Order: sequence, then C-alpha cells, then structure tokens
Amino acid sequence: MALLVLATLALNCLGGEPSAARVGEPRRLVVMVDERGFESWPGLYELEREFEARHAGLDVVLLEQGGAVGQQDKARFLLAGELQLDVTRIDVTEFGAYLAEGALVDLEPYLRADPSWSAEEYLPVIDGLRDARGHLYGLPSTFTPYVMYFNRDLLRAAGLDAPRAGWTWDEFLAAARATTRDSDGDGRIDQWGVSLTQWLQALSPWIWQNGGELLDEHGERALFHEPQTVAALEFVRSLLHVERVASFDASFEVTFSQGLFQAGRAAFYGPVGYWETYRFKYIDAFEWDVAPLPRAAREATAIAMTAYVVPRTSREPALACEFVRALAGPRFQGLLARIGNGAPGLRSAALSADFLDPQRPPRSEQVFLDVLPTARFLPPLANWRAIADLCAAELAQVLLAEQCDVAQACQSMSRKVDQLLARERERAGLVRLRAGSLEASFALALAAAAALGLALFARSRGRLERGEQRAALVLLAPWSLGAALFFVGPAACTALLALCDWSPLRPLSDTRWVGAANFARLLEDPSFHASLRASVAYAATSVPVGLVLALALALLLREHSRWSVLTRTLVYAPSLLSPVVVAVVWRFVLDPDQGLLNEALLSMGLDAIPWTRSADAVLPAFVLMSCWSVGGQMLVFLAALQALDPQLEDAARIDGAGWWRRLLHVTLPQLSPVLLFNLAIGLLGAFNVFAQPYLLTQGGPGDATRFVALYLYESGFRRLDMGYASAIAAVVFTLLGLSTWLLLRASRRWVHYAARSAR
Amino acid sequence: MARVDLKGISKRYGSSVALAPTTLAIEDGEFLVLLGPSGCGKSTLLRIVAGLLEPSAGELWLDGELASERTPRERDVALVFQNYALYPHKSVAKNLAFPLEVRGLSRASIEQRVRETAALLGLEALLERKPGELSGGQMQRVALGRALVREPRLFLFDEPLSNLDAATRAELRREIASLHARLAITTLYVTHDQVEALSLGARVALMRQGAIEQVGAPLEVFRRPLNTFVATFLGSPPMNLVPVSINSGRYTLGGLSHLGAPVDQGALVLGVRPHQIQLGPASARALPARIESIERLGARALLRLALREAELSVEVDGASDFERGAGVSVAWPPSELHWFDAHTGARVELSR
Repeated sequence: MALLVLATLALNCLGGEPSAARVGEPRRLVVMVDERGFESWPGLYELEREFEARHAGLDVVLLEQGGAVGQQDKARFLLAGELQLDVTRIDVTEFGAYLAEGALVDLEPYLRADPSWSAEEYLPVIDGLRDARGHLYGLPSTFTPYVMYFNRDLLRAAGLDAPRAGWTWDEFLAAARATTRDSDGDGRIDQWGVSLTQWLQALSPWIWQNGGELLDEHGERALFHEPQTVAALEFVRSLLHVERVASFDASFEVTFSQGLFQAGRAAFYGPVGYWETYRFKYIDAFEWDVAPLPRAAREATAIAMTAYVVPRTSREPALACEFVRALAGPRFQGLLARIGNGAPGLRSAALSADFLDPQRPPRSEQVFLDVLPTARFLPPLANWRAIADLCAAELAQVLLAEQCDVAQACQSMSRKVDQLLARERERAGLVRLRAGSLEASFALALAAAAALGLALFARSRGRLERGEQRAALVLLAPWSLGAALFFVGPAACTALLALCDWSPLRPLSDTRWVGAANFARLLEDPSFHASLRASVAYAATSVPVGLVLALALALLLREHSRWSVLTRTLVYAPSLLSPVVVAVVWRFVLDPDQGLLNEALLSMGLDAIPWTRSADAVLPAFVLMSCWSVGGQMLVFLAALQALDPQLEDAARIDGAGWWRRLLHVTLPQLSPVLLFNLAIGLLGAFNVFAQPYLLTQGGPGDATRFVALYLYESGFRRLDMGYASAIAAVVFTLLGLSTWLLLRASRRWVHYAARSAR
Repeated sequence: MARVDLKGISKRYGSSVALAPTTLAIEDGEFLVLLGPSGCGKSTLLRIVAGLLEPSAGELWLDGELASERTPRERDVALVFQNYALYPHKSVAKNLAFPLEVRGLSRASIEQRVRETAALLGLEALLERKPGELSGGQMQRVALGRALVREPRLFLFDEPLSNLDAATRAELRREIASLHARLAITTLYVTHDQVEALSLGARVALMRQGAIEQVGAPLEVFRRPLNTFVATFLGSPPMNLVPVSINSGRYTLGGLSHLGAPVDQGALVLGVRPHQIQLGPASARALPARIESIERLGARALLRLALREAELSVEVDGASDFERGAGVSVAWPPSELHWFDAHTGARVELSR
C-alpha cells in the first residue's frame, strides 16, 4: 500500500508537468467513463468510432473505471500522477473538491463557442455542476433523487394503500407499525415495517423535511445541533428503538447479500435512489414500487448524480468537451436510461419511454422526476468527503446505540464539523512550498544514500581486492538503484509531504507548507487511534496464531512420506496468491448469508456467524483468512527444520525427553533465529494488510477493520489529504521501526545463533 | 547395570538388509566392542539397542525383560555420539543437568550430581561455557559426562573418538577404559578403529555387511580369526594371504612342499601375520624371495617381498639393514600359520 503511494509520488517527481501534445506523437483522447459494467460499452465503442472518424489522426482510448469499490480512486491516481485524462465521470459529491482544487476545466468557453449548445435541454439538476460564477464544469450523466421503495403486497395484506404524494411521517409510522410482524410468535420480529438506510445522504432528507439544515447559508457552520435536526434524528431513532418498526439494512455494502426488502421481509425501504431498481428488477415474488419520501414540516429529498467532466490533466480540452457533449447527448443518455442506471440529465431522454418504460418496474418511475423540485444536492465543499465520513460515524453512533443523548451528540457533531470547515478555510491561506522542494528532497536523499553507501564501501576496501570490489559494485548496482529510486527518494518526499498540505487533485507543484500541523492532528484523531488499535489487535492475534500454525504445519510435514510433497504444495500454494485474490476468494467463504463457512456451520447444526457484519466476529474472520496464507512462513520453518542436526534430537530422546520437551529444549532453540525472522516479517506484514479490508469490509463494521494501511489510503485518496496520509506513513514507519528494534534487542535473550555442534 | 540379549534382531529397509538376524549377549558389566568397516551395520545395531531404531524382527531383552517396544527413556541407556551432539544453546552445566531435569530430580541433587560428574571428568572450569567455546576433546568429555551423570544401566558409544586428533584420542581412550574399570557399567562400543577395539573391549564383535563374523576376546580374535575377513581386518599391516597350489597330492608354495597339510581339504589360502615371518640369507632350502620395497617406521620397518607370484608384507626390527632388490629366504613357525578355505574364506583347522 505504502508502495502505491510512493510509486505515485515517484511518477509525479519524474513525470513533470503535462504538456500539450508533443510534435510527432499521435493525438490521444483518454476517456474513463464506463457505467454499470459492460452494459454501457457498446454505446461507448460507437461513440469512439464516430469520434475517430470525425477527427482524423485521433486515437480515443477508453479506460475502465473499475468496480464498485474505489470506483472514484482511479481518476485520482491518474491526476496525482499527472497522467493524461481527458474525460471522466465523477460523483457530484466530489464536485466541490475537484472544483476547489482546480482539478476541472471550465467548460463554459467551449460551450459558448458552440451555437448548438443550450443548457435548457437539461433538467435543472445541471445547476449542481456550476461554480459560484455560474460557469459549467461538467454535464450530467444520470441522477436520482432519494425515494421510498415499498412492497405492495405487504401493504395490501395490512389493508393499506400505496403511499400518495405528500404523505406524512405520521402516516409512514402508522403503515410501518401495521406491517411489522412477528408471524411465527417466537418473540423476534421477522417482518419489518421499514428497512432504513443510514449514510449521510440518506439521512439528510429527514433533517430537511423537519425544517433543519446541515450547514448555514455560507457553508461555514454546521447546524446539526439545531432543534429541528435533533428532533428529526430522534424520530429516526424512535423507529428503531422505541417503535421497533425499523431495521438498518446492511445489504447495500455487502455484495452477495440479499437485503430485507429484497427478501420480502420489509414493507418500506429507503430513503434510497434509483440504482436499487437494477437489482430489484429480478424480484418476482411480490409487487413493488416507489413513492416520494414522507414529509414533515416540508417536502425534501436528497439527490445523487454523476457527471462527465474534463480533468485538469486533459491535453485536448476542446475535443474532451466535445466528447462530454456526446456522452451527455440524446443517444448515450437514452442508452443509460434503458440500462436503468438512473434518470438521464437530458430532459428529452428523461421524458422518453427509454426512462419511463411502463413495461419495466417500478411502475411509478415518474416519481423520480416529480420530486425534483424538492430535491437538494449536498453542499459542494472541498473536504466534503472528510465531513461525510465523520458524520457517518457519528450518526451511526447516534442511531444504533441503545441509549443516546441525541442533542448532545448533535452538539458534538456540529463542533467537529465546524473544526473541519475552519481548517478548510485556513487551507486557502497556506503558503506554497518553494518550487522544486520535493525534487530537491528526492535528490538530497539519493545523494545522502549514495554517500552513505560509498562510505561503507570505502571502509570495506581493505578487505577486498580490486576485482572483488568491481564485482561487488556490479552485483549491488541493480538493487541499490531500485532501492534508491523507489524507496529512498519517495520516502524523503513522503517525509516532506508529511509537513505539507497536498490534495492529489492538485499538481504536486501546488504543495503548501503546514509544518507539524498534520502530526498535531494525528495526536487528536480518534479514527487514527482506532485504526492503530485495530492494527495492533490484528497483529497481536494473527501473528502468533500464524507462527504457531506455520510451525505446527512444518513439524507435521517435516517427515518425508508419500503425500508430503503434495501436502506441502497445497499448504504453500495460497501464500503465492495476490492479497486481492485472497480477498475475493474469502468473500465467498465469509459472506454471512451465502458464504461457505456459514453453510458449513449451519449444516453441522451450529448457528451462522455474521463474520463481516459484526465487529466481534470480523477480527477472528480476518485472522482465519491470514492463516490461509501461512505457507511462506511454513516453508521457512520447514527449511530450517531440515537443516537441523538429527543427532541432537536423538540425544534428547536418549536423555529421556518426550516430544514436547524435545520441541521446547532442542528444536525451538535451534529454530529461534528463524522464529525471530518470521516474527519480524509477520509483524510488518500484519501492519501492511490492505487489500483484504479494502475489498472485503471497507474498514467496517464500524472501524473494526480500518487498519492503519487502509486509514492511510483513505486519508490520501478518499479524503484527498495526502499530507496527512504521509504523516500517518511517517508515524507508522517510526512505530514499526521502533518495535522491530525492540524486538531485535529483546531477541538477544532468546535467540541462539550458536553454530550447530561442530563436526 | 544390565545384561543385554539380542535375539534374532534384524533391520531391513525395503529389500536391502542393514542388519541380518543377529543374536548376541552382553554380560552384566561387560565392555563389548562392535568393530567393522563403515556401512557394516554396527551403528544400526547400536541404534536398535538404544531404542532410536525399531528392529524389523527379533527381540531385545534387558535384564531378562523384553525391551524391544520400550522408549529410550524406559530403557535407561546413555549414548555418546561421534559428533558429541551437545545442545548448542545450553551451557555445559545445563547440558549435564538436562537428563536429570527430564527425570524430575530435585534441584539440589541435580546440582550435586553435575558437580560430581564434572569433577570426575575435569570439567569444573568449563561449566558455564557454551559448547561452541570448547575444543573437540572437551566437548566429548562433556558428552561423556552427560551420559554418565544419570548412572545409566547401559552405556552406548557410537564412534566417540573418530573426530578427535590422535593425542586426544589416546588420552580419552585411556579415560574411557579407566571409567569402565571403576564404574563397571555394561558398555556397547561401536568403532571402526581396531586399536580402540583391541585395547578397550573385553570382547570384540567383528561385523561385515550386516552380520557378526566373530565374537571373542581381543587376543583370541586376533590369534584365531574365523575367516579371511577377520584375519585381514585386524592387525596392521594386515595378515598376508597366499593361495597355495596342490602339487602331486601335497600343498606347495614356491616349489617347496613341506607345508605339512593333508590334501583332503580342497583349495586353501595360507595366512601369516607380517611380524611372524622370519627372514634369513638366501638359501636353496628356504623359500626364496626378493625385497621390493622398504618402509622405515623408526622402531619397525615394513618390507614388501615378491615370492613368485605372491606378495608378502613383513614387519622387521627397524634397525635391520635390508636393501631393496636383495634376495632373502622366508620362514615362519608352522604354529603361526592360518589356513582358510579358498572359496568360503572360512578357517580350516589342519590336523597334523
């Protein structure tokens, strides 16, 4: 993980500024906009062909954006690396950050130059893509307001009608009460009135409907502590804890799981967007539809949208803008509507049968357009992601805890958000780092490393002959070069960045000096402390368990037998897999609903365990997963075991020692150097684990698997705070260095390097 | 102290035989040496007695109790290895204490026994050192101590002196002999060195290709080898073996026929030890031979003689003034002649 960051920085340092197309090079247009997997590709290929036919000598390069996890990350990598990217698709919640960091090209001049352009062709959602002056920086792809899904059959069974527009919280609560059932009478509710969604954007409509606001009109102060907001959250809490008519739907994040609503066990599901129709279209067990959200003081809902933009690393902004217009044009928008990605931003496409297809559920697709006048975007702030992450964690506390003083929790949330807003304002006043500072630190570190290397080499001069010296230099060169370019230099840059403010959306040259502020923040950041605790807990369990398992396997597989080669191979093979593959495989194993492990537990008559959904079960699950890759350590132990003097074992047997005492007094002391090696490497490995939590749990549930490597990554690439991420890297590096040093020191007591008894 | 009985013990690995069915008894307090070239199965036999190897067939009895199935710990045997096999991470004192700790002795008695053993072997000054800091002789002394410290019933040695230099080897050899004389623990000692075998053993068992060829007191085995293998393996230089021919009903050698052997024994090989051959001036009545080479070793000198087609090695006084190429006559006391069957190599007793 840290390597990824380092490599990005290295690319950046070496790559320099993007320049206009160089003479003689073929012109390329790099486009990365794929939506909902493969289904949009035929349309994209068509656009590519047409575009290339229209612009002779132009090569349109279509990049894949990637899956649901980290979908937004690839564009940031490209920007941070100053690599050409002409058109991409961003979530509108990112728009504020892109705009504030100057990462987008102003499309207004290009649009105005085109007489055929008219913003009127688009629904008003397009205004979410304007800056303060009203300039457009992107065109809409698809959007969706948050609505309420309902199970028509369950409502009918309770004698209720489908909700009408303008229905109220009271009506909603009554319907939820009427549909909550314990049908088998075991004291556990098995049919819920509501399956609630819980992220900030999904919870905001409740606040707005009750007359509350997230921020004041200047976007400078958080207003969570206002009574309307507190009351709104009290209402949602009461659905869960007082009325007991609602359950949180965890399925949104968990790929294979079927949510309550999909299983026919919830009458309402929401607030949530149009994207759920994509998986609900396979439901044939019951009839379902959508309704506007219920209202309180006023009607309101949130809106999600993606937009096509031209990033600052575009080398063909004019052509890119033209391509954006094609993507936001009637043909592609019609295709997106047919795929069912959301409501098209283009008015004609949204009102066409492509979107309002009566053959396809939901029957009331019109609702998504009807609620638009009351729909709002979240405030376009530069650090919106950091605020949203903070609020999501705080709100989960407020809503999930059995006991909670909502007013006090809201006060504290406002205070924390205010701090984030204040810091964002301060960032504007930061002083730019002198140009070339990072390059200089890179070069300086290289020079220092080279000097150190030469000094060490000079000291060894007396002992080596000329020919040996040359051989040593030649043999060391490739490794030293790699280590210098990809470790020493980037490490120096990271150290410098830890004292700076840099968003990967900005050019690296626009790095601003903050001094020790990042480290001061680390001291007070409970999420960082939680991630450290999670990592320590993971290391403290997975490393010893792994060591014991590896040693036990090595002892078992030590003897040569007919099957030993096969068994060794089988045990070793998984450790060759990339962590990504391990995570994907284990998703099938650990999935709480359809995973192999729970299937096995159930078939043995045991209870299923919510592996990835419970904060208590997820750590054991990760330790279990780490055990799968124990083969490398096993191999090291095996090699050491086979190098042992068998006569010592014989001597101990003659001396009367049993199996356990031989292991303790003869085998283990001789293995102690290897034990130390595996311990140190295992410790570093445990703190570096990234792909598994990133792909499997995204750090959850809660913060249980948000290990330091993942937190570092999220700080840098998700919350766009690369200086902070570098500070984390520096702190973790120091902590690991320190603990390794302590380990090595302590090892003098128990590691025996004494040569085997002389022959 | 123990009596050891091996009854038909054998060991095979697949189709290859490491040890042919062997029956052997070691008396209580006896020092028995297993002697043989490498790969003869002597270490296999030792490891079976120790309990480190399971025999393929046969029974092992210790003091009249069947011990084949017992663990080394239950057998209460001690083994001294060729490469010492000291625990490298333990100090000398800890090495000595380990077998006692395993047996759960009290701390005080362990300390006392370790001290006594160290005194017995002169290890007091080395107690806190690690094996890596000791010389080979010192390490083997510690290994001896570790074997002695728990007063085993049976003492096993697996080529204990092979890794040592000549002086240390001689010193430790004397020490082992005197220890045995003092403690009288039943001992099975494996070696390929005939000097150790002859000097240490109350009895010597000679092994070849997984089988015992002869068992007996050292001098008996030396004086009356039961076959050509034993005859040549013991003694340095080895016994001369000369095929004799049958000529008109008499065994003849070099044209002379006064060998006094009857003809009913078939083809024979004559054996005579180099130091029994007497050399005189060339004469028609004695066997004529020519000196091919002289190797002077100080007190002794080794001559190679050509006797017709045969070659003889002869050991003479170092002061004698033989010259290369000179002719000599060869004679030997008839009582010192050994006869072996030319085909089987087995000893043939000639009636006179």
